[in-house]
Amino acid sequence: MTALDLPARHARPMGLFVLLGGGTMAAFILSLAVGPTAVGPGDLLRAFLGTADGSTTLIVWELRLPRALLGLTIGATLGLTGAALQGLFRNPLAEPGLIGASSLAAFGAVVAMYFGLYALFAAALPLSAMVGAVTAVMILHLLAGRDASALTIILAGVAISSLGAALIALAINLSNNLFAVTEIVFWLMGSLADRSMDHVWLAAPFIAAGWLLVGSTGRALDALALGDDTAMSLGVDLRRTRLKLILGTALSVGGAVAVSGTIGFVGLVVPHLLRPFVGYQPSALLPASALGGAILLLLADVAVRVVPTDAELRLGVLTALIGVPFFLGLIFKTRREMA
Amino acid sequence: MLQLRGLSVSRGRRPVLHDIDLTIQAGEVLGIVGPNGAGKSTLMRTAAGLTPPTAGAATLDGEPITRLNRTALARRIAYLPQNADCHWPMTVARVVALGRLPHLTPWQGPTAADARAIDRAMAMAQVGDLSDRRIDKLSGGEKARVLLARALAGDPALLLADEPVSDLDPYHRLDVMSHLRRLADDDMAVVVVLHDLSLAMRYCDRLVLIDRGRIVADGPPDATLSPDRLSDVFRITALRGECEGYPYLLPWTHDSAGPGKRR
Repeated sequence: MTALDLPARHARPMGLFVLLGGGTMAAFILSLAVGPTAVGPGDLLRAFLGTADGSTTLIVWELRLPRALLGLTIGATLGLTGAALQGLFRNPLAEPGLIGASSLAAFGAVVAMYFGLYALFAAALPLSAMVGAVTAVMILHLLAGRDASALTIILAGVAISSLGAALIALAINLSNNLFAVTEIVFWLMGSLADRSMDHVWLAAPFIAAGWLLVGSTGRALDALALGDDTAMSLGVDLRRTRLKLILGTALSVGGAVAVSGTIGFVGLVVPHLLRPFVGYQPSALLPASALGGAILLLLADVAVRVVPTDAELRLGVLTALIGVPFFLGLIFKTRREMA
Repeated sequence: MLQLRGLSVSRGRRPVLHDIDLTIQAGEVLGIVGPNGAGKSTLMRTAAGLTPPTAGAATLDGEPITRLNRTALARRIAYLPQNADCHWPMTVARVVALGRLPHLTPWQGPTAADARAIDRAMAMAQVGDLSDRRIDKLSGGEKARVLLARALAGDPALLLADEPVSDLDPYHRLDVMSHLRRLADDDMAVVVVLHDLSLAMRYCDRLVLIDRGRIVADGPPDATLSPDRLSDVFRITALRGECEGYPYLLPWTHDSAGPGKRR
């Protein structure tokens, strides 16, 4: 072994990233093409060049494009934050929902629906979901304190998630408006149907800010593989890293939940599948999981459109149906490894 | 190199170290010994800049370590904690490469200089032939050497190793200790916490004995572990002798009242 072949061995697996990048593009195009009205490749191209007929242009630009963009960004958010939280807690069972941000974000959105705030102005829904996500982070900080262990953070997250679920149940319980209840229940299942570019623009700034915060922690996550103490001795500012990850997760997941409702398990499944292909290196897993999450969510969103059910299958229901058996398998595997 | 002056440290509200004065020099292996709970690990963490002192100061070449930038400190001091491990099953080469983190430029991969340092560290700890193996598939001795290589990859001036041999069999204990000895001979400062008093006698230039948060002795191994101190601090007696010019020590009897009931 010579010194010169080491950088090569430490290079990120470029083949994997080319594959994931190509896969993301293919899934994105598929998401534009598939639906009640199929749009062929030629029409798709013409729609983007502005030479397609009126209805095709309308379908592609007004219906499919927002949906595909949301699938891309929300899927990437869930994959990225899942990988980052698993790196932070050194636990493959960690998930964005773990710190309670999804749950309180959902409650925030439910409040906006319950009081009809979103009928007054459209931005009320995402804004109030964001308030929920940030509240979750603040409660987490109060509960977990400064030098909290991973276990404390997980327990605090469980408590916050339960709080969110209880408050949502309370809102449904107290509601005497059957229409609002139906709407809330369906929204909680998570979906990308009937979203417009307004939704994209509402969520995008929060999601982008979250990505920047989370994406800047790659090397700190590598160092954390050796434990908190060693990571600190390698120059990692543990408090800043945790703050960046938790705030970044709250912003991006809050933005995502606001427009899509709750979509679970993407952040669990994707990092676990991709980890061996990046040599278990947490920093390389971040971009890989972002792309993988985008692919999974785009394909799942295509699947709910083509599965012939009377009512359209909800995206969050599908990801849960895929995710829960996976989750159970992962617990089983973790238990066996510990034994 | 590293100076601790009038250092006191608390963990939570409990005072752990009192008024520690200690100087660590390049080229020596300094052993830290003492009963369980004496404050050895806290001393190591404070020296590594991980636990801030409540009084006094630690200075590295004259600069207070609390004022040094984290990365600058990380480039000069390597810390190998007790029960060190790597959580994810990465390859040995990747684990050792983590030791280069303080030297990397943001948004840039490892350079040829990093690669050379990684190779050198792996050669020093004799893990070069393991470089493509996964760390979770290694034996305890191999893993200990890999984590030592990780600490060495940053080219530190000072290595702080907290009980690096406690999980190892006799062969690997001697092996790791002789590695540390060679590092000091190459002018690194090495501080090592040991429970094995015979290893401490055999490999350290100087021993510091800590009891209930205070330094009770600091000097040549033979003098530090005098029969009186062994009986006062450890509540044991030991057989002593000399072999090939090195003093040795073999714990032999213990006070049946136990270390908690002393004095």
